[in-house]
Amino acid sequence: MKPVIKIKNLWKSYGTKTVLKGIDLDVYAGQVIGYIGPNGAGKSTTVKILCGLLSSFEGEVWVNDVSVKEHPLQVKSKVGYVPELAEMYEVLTPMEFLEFVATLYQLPAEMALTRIERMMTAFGLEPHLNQRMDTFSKGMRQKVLIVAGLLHNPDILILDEPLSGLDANAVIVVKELIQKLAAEGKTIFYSSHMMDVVEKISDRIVLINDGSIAADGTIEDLRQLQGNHSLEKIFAGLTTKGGVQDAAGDMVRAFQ
Amino acid sequence: MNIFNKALLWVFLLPRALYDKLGVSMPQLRSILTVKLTMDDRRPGMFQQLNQQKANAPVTKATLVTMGFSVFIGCSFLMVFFLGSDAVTHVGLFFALFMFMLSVTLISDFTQVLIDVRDNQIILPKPVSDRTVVTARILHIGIHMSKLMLPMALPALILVGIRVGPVSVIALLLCVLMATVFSLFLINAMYLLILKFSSPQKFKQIITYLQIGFAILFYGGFQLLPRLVEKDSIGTLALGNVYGHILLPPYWFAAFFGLLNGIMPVSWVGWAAAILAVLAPVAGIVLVVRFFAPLFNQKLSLLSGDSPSTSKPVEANAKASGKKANYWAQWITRPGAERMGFLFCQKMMARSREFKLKVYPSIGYVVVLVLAQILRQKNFSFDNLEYQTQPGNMFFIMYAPFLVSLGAIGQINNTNHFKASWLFNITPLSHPGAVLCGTIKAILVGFLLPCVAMTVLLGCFRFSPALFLQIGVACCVQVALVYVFFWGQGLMFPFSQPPQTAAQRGSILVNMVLMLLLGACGLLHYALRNHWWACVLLAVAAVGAAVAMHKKTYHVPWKRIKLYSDF
Repeated sequence: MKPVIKIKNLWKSYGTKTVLKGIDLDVYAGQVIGYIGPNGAGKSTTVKILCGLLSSFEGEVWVNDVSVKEHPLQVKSKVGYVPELAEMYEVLTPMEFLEFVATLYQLPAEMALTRIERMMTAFGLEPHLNQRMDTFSKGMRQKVLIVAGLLHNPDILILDEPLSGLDANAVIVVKELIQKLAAEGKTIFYSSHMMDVVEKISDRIVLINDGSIAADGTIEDLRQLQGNHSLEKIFAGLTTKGGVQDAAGDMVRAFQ
Repeated sequence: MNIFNKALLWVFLLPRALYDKLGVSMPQLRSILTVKLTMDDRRPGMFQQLNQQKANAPVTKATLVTMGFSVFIGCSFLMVFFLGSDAVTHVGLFFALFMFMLSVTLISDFTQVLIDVRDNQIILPKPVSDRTVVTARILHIGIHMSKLMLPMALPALILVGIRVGPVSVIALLLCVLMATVFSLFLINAMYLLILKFSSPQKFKQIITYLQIGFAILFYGGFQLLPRLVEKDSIGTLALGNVYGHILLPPYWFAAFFGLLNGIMPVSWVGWAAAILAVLAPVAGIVLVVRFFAPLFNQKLSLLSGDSPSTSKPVEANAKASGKKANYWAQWITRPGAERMGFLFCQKMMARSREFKLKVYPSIGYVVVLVLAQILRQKNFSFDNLEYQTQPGNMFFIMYAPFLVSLGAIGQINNTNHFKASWLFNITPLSHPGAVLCGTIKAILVGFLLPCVAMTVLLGCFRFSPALFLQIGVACCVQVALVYVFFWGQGLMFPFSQPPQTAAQRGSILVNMVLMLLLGACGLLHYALRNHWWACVLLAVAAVGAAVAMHKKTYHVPWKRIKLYSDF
């Protein structure tokens, strides 16, 4: 089977600071990749490169056999990207904003309209379709962002903390959505700090630390290698030096 | 979208073939421009920004308001057509005002319109080619400028049409277009210059100061120009009779207008200016498109914080301003909530962009007012400040700076980030009034004290105990007045309320009474000026009142403080 995403020896620096240090990764259709790592490990940079937002990197990145460096536009049209609590043009209504996004993806107007209405109705946002988003709650905005990422029916969906701000019911909807999209052969790149969610929904977990891949495999693989712990513990074991428990202990001792 | 936006969009999208040839996607281009213009219509423009009425009311017709205001500004330009000796001079002065106002407006709009960092997150991840994005940006600027430039030039075009004839209208319109392109080039160059010598983080701060500076200049111009006109020199002014005029861009376009109208330039200066009028905008366009635009885009991407290593300078600044505030705090505030309130206000007043934008211009206004007052008096000298040729002058200079403190009091409670004030609400303060005491002291130290210091400095030109006594008395009176005005605004924690005008708080009457009080205090002081003992008594009374009000403020209970609880 051919990989949908192929990353080969990827390096990226900002000035003197090297953020990615030789990442190699093959991702296949229908996989849900839990992409985790501490803050500043290089997650967002990888995601930005995959979305075709950064072109000044060393190494090779292909999406569906298309080089990200050479044909960023072709890659962008295959990828749906939902940034974490991203900026949006808040003075627009969801309808205006989503129609705008649909045009940028060059969807036919009628198809876009049907999809917007259906997706927004599924999220329970239909009554708010024509209200300006500056009054929206965090969760409502996140729903609009998710719809904006899915509208063009992408092969690859990159989600950065997609559950933040969502209420419990919406969380269920998004989790199920991810499973169903994967079952249809779409590739999901799921980046998050919520380890329990990542553990549940991912078929494969890639842990990145300090610009390199520290672990790669199913949760069972990781358990076999790191002891039969929860993902949270495995994460802490691989990414901290002193251990998280020490930090908590220090916090409590600060009262004394 | 309103009809003007629609019409302009239609005009700007006419050269379809050209865009297709450039490889621009028409549907995407139209879509981006439509969204941008819709957003422009819902965003307060510069004029509304400085004078924003209500944070919550959605802005719907920003474009129409801006265009209406531009027509009004354009009407005010007409006065120059009655100054100077000849037609070229009239038009030259018109271009000076036109280019100045256009640049001022564009500078503030650029930060909102052009530097929309959200584009990086929203448009760039989509399959849109760079050419489409760049073309959309350029056309957006074009449409935006047309909306400012056309209404601003309209009154002058009509006047010229009536005075000279329709051909001149077309000539003037052409010159206006050229001047607009040249202004755009100047602003672009200035932006790049600022970005070159400062960090992207500081960029917006510098633009804020520029905006404040221009607001003052604008106000000063309107205050001082008519006074200068009274002096005869400007009445006989003729552009082009001095070599130095070649350095004035407005003169170039005026000279070209003259040439188009068959008024041949009398000197080589005129010819050179007319040639420059054609060459400069063309050179400007080439420079902007070839060199500035790519550099600009590159710098803009930095603004969105793509590079991680840029937080150091801000940190250093924060420490420096914190130190200064700490020094004062130790001397004049009680430890605890009062000191906290003082330090909080000092830092917020120094760093909040919206606060600075609303209060700092008043400092400039006061300087202009004082200057105007000084200029009004012929044969002014500091020797007669003291007594008694025109003692009103000195009293005006002593009391006018209070307007700055007044501006600070009016804005100290307001911020767009009022929701952050939940922090005050959850604290178990036994004396919430202590925070208010700190706030008042911060205003006294930050705004009243520097103004008094300036007055003292002015007074130093002629050392006289009597003059300093008057300044001291005025200072005491103003301290008491700061307390009175602070109470008059209603008791609120600093930076805890959404921006509102006095009218919406229902305190117009209160404000009028307070202004009368201010006038009464000034007049009382003026009436007592020749009796030093009475002045001392007034000062003592003022200090007594201030101390009493300070105590009262300290003991204000929770229930008297207006909280913003809708979080």
